[in-house]
Amino acid sequence: MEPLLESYLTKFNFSKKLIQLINDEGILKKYNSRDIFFNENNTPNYTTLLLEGSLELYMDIKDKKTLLYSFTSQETCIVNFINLFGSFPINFSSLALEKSVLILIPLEKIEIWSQEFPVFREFVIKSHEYHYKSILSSIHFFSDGSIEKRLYDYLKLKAIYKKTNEISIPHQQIANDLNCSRVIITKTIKKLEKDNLLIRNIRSVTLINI
Amino acid sequence: MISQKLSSHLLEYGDVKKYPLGFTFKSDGEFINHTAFLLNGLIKINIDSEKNTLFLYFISDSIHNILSFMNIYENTTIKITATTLKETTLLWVSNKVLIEKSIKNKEFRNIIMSNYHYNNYHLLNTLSDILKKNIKERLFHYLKTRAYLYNTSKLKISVSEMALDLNTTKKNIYNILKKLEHEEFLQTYPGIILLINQN
Repeated sequence: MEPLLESYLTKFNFSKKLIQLINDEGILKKYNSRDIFFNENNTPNYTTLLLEGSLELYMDIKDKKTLLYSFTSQETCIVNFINLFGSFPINFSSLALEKSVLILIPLEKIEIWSQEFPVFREFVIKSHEYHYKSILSSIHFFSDGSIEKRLYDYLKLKAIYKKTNEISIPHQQIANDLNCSRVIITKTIKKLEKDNLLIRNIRSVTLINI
Repeated sequence: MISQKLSSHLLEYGDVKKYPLGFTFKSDGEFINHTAFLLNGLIKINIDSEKNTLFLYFISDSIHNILSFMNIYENTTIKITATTLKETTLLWVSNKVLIEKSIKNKEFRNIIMSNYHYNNYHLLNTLSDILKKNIKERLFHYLKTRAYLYNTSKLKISVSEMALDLNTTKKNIYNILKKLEHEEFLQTYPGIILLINQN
């Protein structure tokens, strides 16, 4: 039995029988920090649970990756929930923010175990609820805020995940994540500095008073 | 869609309520811990923020007939609003009953799961539209969907409602409608839009 499985899944009140089934049917995957993997393309008949670590979920549109949201193994979470409801015309990918461990589970087992184990059904539904709320937040983020607010919130989130006020990310990557141009990001960073919200360094920015 | 048998069964455990056109439910309102089965009518779901609102997806008896605030197990609220677009009848069932029933009844289980799939699928669609489509494409898609749901190409809809649903200005909507009219996709009349080319 994979030791991580037991420690992770018992917190959701999974029975020993269910954990054993997950262990028997699952395929363990380990990723290093900054590894990128495609959620559904490579494993269309599986869904994935994040056992340890944290991930960023990206929507891949027109060769551009747009950051939707991040989550850690502390949240109740199935990673690739999209193929649970069939196919979706857009691809998704994940970026490991730190060393992360996942387990692939055959899709048909999700339905069988959801019927057999109420606690597993609750886990799947709560994962859907988590993703629903996170997508809602992303919709709100991309449709409602000014670029200043979006960029500042994005940098704050990065600071929280990285546990440092100094953020070092290329402007082009920020532009991709926020679905806008690099020029706009450069201008907006200058504006945020003028508003005393950050300090520009040569290859990084330092957030003030977060 | 729920079967007639299940619908009759649910009537024993739920409240049937009729709502007029334009009625609005808040997700943190009277039925916070309930799920509704749409018996007839049409509803649109919007996300609310302090200043704005944005259209997300429709609930109808022809496509998907469950109105859920996505909190069956969690006592949390999300900021969504449901507005009736026709006279609508809903059967409200408490989430507690839904969970109890789903333990024994496979159809119940499937309904709950498919409802969650539907909502996440359409939310992702809305997000991808925001990210990849311009406002003209989004408006035309919005009008085509409404035409499909109302089963008519003659839509009675105000510029204000379109502006609110797409989180833009009335002036912007007005200009895009003129552009779409010029490109012969639709014709505008006072209070009415006639779709003439839905491709």
